[in-house]
Amino acid sequence: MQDTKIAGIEVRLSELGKASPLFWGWTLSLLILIGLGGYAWYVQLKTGLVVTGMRDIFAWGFYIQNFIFFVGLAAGGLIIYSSVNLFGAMQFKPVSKLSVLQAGVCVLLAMLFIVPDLGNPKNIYYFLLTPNFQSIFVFDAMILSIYFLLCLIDLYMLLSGREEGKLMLALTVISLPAAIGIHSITAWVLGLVKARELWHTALMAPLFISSALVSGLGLLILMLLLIRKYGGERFKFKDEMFYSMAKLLAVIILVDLFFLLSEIITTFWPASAMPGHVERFALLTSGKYSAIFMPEILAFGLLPFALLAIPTTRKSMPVVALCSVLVVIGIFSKRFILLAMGLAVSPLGVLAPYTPTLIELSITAGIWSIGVLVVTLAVKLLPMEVVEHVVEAPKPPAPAKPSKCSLCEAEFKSMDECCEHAEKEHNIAKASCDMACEEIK
Amino acid sequence: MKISRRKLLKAIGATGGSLLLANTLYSAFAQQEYSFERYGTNYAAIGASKIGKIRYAPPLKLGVRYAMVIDTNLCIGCGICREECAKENNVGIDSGMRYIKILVMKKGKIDLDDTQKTPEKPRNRRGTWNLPVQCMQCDNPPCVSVCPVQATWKEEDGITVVDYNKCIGCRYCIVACPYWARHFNWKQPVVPEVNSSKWAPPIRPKGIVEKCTFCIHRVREGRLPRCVEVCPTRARIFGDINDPESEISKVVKSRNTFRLKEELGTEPHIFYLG
Repeated sequence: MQDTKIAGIEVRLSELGKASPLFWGWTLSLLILIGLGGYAWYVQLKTGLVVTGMRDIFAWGFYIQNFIFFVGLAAGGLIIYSSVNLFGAMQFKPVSKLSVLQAGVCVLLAMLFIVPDLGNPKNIYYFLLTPNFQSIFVFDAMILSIYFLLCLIDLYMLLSGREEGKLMLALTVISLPAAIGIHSITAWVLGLVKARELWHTALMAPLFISSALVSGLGLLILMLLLIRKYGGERFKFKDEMFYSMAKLLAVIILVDLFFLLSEIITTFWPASAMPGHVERFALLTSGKYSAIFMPEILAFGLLPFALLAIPTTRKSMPVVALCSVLVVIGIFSKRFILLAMGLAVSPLGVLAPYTPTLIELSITAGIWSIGVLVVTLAVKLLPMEVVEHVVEAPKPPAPAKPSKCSLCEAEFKSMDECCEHAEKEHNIAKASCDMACEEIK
Repeated sequence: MKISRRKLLKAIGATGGSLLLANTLYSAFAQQEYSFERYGTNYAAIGASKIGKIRYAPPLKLGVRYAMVIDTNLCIGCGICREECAKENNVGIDSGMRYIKILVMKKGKIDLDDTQKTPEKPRNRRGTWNLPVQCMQCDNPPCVSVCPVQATWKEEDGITVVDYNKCIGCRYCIVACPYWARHFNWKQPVVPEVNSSKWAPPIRPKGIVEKCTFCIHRVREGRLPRCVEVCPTRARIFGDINDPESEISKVVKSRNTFRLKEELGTEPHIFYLG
């Protein structure tokens, strides 16, 4: 197949012809998973949501957990991307396109996860026809769509080679508040519900943003490591860039843990404790869900923070990779904990169990596979690399050429030595050393 | 193959524009459909025609506000109201759905978190009292405010209803209701004996949310809700709380009542005598 151009973007269809069996095997297994997910959704549509583990008390489950998780993941890409354009963090420039890709794909998956959660998805168009502007859900749908469009436009600009210039800067300036918007508004879907005691806290939006950044950055590091490993010659990122990201990650983990601590203190401090709140939170600290909550804080929060905060452990790629895996798992379980906080006990005090069923797991695996497939194809077919920043092999030192100083006729073994002499003796800066030194032919 | 940017942008613009137009047209149309004045002395429609017309008579007269009083001293927890309600409203009882729950409370306190956890088989035991709960028909219903597609609303006489044809099944209303009064059809409901009387609501499809409507199909005809009618101890009083001459107004004015979770500001309209 031949390379083509669609709306100014180069599409390297020829890469498909050269692709390895590994690539085709990977793509095929993803397609199979997507197919299985589709079938599971068909079964769910046919029989109803009774095939899931959700019931009237625990009314939102694995799909919403994934929805919140992916909204959060979309943050990581954007913070890296905008720190390049707004704050001049040039060490992240090689991954700016991939960061935007990650943000866009994650937001797409978040929106996809809403669909199987609906009992009556054929009515979804009422979101556009008769939206209720008192419902924060409507604003969430709006901001997610806007954010997705922004990611597409950003990516288009980057891919078609318009990465410099005022328009690009303006887009970044819009994208940043939009990113804060998707997290805050998704947080408010839970936080603005007064019926659920533990959700009804003003800290919900800040907590969402910090968790989002932790998981988003963790996933970005993982994705970049994988692309570096399997993506071929085009994606040889420097280790230093990963250390720099790891440092940022450590700081955000600390902020996230602090918000959580603040929430726990408010719940349990004697002068502040409310019976309904304590009973519901105790489920997490000592009850049914403590097996998820306690490791989430210790193994997936404090441990990676400690490892990344200490410079000696941070500057090791296996540790960075491990910590990224830990924080992504940690935030994923935190999203479940978040749902359990509000939904495990009904407003009238009845505890309900919830475990996702095979159908829920299959649909989830299918949607995840869509995202992985999009990233795989994009990396394969689109010019995702930023050429000038790909690390090149260190240049072999130039062969020493004997040279002489034209001012005092002294001779040297190499040009460098001559330049040093000229700076010292004749006050000629090294940059303009050619005024004094010349090669001996 | 070449698709120019101009063409791409044009296509996107056209799609967005037509959606906007459709929205404007639909909004105008939808308002006509649900407006009461439009139907005059005929009947107000709730929902379109896909699962059979759900039509209720308009409110009996202007300014009616329905409410209920439940005397917890008289409630023996027999559960007749719960089962008769399910029959009356064609509720799919096979999945365990009921509009009414009877909580068995500890004597000496009203603590919803400290109730007997098996509300299905209440017994009038020593040391406990019975608290029947159902939709409180709030004045500020959180469930209405969170519905993203305006599929649920409060009627003029204070009854909150659902448009079963419009509900997308997102269950946000279930999450937002402080009284656990909304129920989702996790599967297609099975109704053993279908109540096919004049205005009885048809069986709802799977994947949508439903709730107690104070038997809107009965009260709009001047009859009592089924739970009030069948209570063997006459523990329930139903009526127009805006009418100072009604029994319920007199009871609420003259006796000490309490409401559940008043601190949330939802203004529930079931008053308990305790």
